[in-house]
Amino acid sequence: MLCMADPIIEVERLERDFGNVKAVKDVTFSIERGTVAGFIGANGAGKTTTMRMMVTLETPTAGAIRIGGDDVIDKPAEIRRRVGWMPDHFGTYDNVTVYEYLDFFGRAFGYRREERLRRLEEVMEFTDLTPLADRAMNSLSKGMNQRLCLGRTLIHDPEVLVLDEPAAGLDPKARIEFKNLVRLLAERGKTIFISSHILSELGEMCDQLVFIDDGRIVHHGTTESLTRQSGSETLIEVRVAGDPEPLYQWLAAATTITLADRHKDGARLRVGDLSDEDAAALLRRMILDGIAVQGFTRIERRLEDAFVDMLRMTPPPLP
Amino acid sequence: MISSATHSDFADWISPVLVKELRQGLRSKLFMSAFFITQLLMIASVLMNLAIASAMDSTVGEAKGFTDGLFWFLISLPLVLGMPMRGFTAIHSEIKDRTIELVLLSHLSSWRIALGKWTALIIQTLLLVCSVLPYVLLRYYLGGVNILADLQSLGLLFIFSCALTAITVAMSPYESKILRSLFVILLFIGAWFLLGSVMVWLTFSSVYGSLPGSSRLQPWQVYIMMAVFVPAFIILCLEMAASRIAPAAENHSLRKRLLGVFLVGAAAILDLTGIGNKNAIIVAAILLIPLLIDALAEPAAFSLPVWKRFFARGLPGRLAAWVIAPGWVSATVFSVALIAALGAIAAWLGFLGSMQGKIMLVSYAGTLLLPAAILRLALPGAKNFLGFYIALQFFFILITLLVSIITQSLNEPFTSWLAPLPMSALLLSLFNNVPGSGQPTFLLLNSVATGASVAFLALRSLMPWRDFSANLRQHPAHNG
Repeated sequence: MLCMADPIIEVERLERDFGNVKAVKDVTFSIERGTVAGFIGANGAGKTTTMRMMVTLETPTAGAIRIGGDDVIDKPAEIRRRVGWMPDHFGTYDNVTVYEYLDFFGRAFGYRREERLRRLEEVMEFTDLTPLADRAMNSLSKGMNQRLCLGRTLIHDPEVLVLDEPAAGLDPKARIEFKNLVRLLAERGKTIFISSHILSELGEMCDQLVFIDDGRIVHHGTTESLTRQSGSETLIEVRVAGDPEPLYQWLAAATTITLADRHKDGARLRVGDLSDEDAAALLRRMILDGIAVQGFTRIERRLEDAFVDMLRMTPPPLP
Repeated sequence: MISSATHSDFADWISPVLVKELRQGLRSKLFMSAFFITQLLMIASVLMNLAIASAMDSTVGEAKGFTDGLFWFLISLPLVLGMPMRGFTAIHSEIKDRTIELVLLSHLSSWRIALGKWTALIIQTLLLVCSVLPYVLLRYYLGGVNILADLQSLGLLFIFSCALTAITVAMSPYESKILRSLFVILLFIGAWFLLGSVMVWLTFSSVYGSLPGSSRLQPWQVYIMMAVFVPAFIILCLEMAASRIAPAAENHSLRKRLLGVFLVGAAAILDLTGIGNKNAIIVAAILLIPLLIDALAEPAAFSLPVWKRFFARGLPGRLAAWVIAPGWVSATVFSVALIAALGAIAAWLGFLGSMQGKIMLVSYAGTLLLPAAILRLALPGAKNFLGFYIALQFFFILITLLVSIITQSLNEPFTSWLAPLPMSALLLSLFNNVPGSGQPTFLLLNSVATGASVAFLALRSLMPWRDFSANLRQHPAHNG
């Protein structure tokens, strides 16, 4: 688990029951101010329930959530001011234009005329909605709708953005656009807590990753720590000049390294947990032993593989 | 840049929900078609009026009565049917599309949302009312009708429309289609019957002073009662809607129950000062029915933010929780207390001097509490409690009707079989169908059924109460 210097989101021993079903079980994590954190888990893992509790839409059965030091139960109004919520599903209104929709939320957040107009212009410009101002909102494409939903989330300029599966159902172009918007928001110092099924995408966007499975947190750390986490193996791609046979012989003699795959100019090696220093030492040893190393590359494991491995390694909950 | 026209159409002081609903509502096909159809129907009706006014034969009187009836029927269609019906989708569509959550996360409270939705519908109804005013004037100038009576009727129609819209908005958060359909049927049969009665009564009162055989209420007394009860009822309906969409951390039960106390208090003042002429207590008893049913149907869900507020105040807080905390547990205590207060006022006014009055009071309590007790016993985990509750009441009404029909056809006093059913006792005593000799038996059996319902609900409520206390003990951090 990560140690936080300046946590803005603190979740402590959180639980949520729906009748006899325990949707969230003893969840604890914290997110540092100004970071982009990914929240990953399969359907029904408890992601949305946890997020809904964070934005005061659900009440925890037990435990606590603090955003910027304020408890969601004690100060829901303060939390709503600080947090912007973008749900996975976004309903539209009939007979309402894009501008009117944002204007409604501007009014709902208590902005007066000039200030509201300024906020609306800022948000529409940021989300590139200005050309669509007079379009009926129920005539927008999925990508435009997501931008509108993000615009609504930003209307009251929240410190923390909680985005539930924002890229779901978007085409590749809209997905890239959305990813860029998230990056821009991160640059503006917003703390973003984002859930998704698309792990590789989260890996690119996020500084931290929180994995939830069956209502429990199974991993919390940086993307690198997950892909290189202890107990998992590392793959090294080695290319040699000339005949690769000396490499194979060298590998046969090595005790902690196994041959994963051969190819015409080298091999793929499988080693245990390997730090950067360990990798450098391995390369030095190969060169000193006379292997004509031409290329030495650590193959990053895909986030999906790491996630699957991690779930496999997680012990089942106690009955 | 955004054009200035788009952002200056509504002033800042207007409720955001009202702005949004008006933008949506005034552009909706339903409103547009209602508006234009009303104009067409009004033109047709006035033309018929004119044709009859210019005719000089003996059938003029009958024909004028027909066109008058047609005119009011056509006006009442959009006002008492079309516009209130739109209330059914007011909140339901927002729940279905999950847009309500986003609105609730802004600075808008659930109450302001419900009020904004209702107000938008009422403003549209008012537009329709204003649009028919020229036709009312035309009828006066060309058709020779009593314009004051017409304006009074139009005003009454509008007030009924306001109340009906409030009811449909209150029903709109419910998901059950059966429940909503049942309500539509009941609502409109009841409303049209009531509207017809009041309009006939007021018209006769205006012309003849009072209606022969009616209670001695003057129109001004009716207006005062309406001024007290109609707004209270509308607020109650909107509060019911608000409580259905509010976050679990809000206690709306307190506000609804305070409205119940207000209704009983207002009835007492109106009747004891002679303004209500012993009718206000009856009106209050009728208006309390939806309030108490709504309270008894509240789930006994544990909401930490709500309960910690009570428990943080020590013994007084815990005692208050037994009456005003959300959920059917406290609703049972509240219902019994409120009906007892109603009974005390009824006794003061002399209603309980007769055996029939006593039967009505006890069966009124039993009618509300027995189905709740049955359902808490048979279906403790029922999600659609209100639907089952209303279905059970329908079942009791059906039994009463069947037995009454058989009894009348056979001329046998089978109705005594119905004595343990409070709903049957209430209906039979309302229509004076309880034979004098059987009245003590009716009262006794009804008291037993009502008492048993109260006792069972009290015992059953100990279980969730114990769970709440245990839950609070588990969360010392939130225990005040």
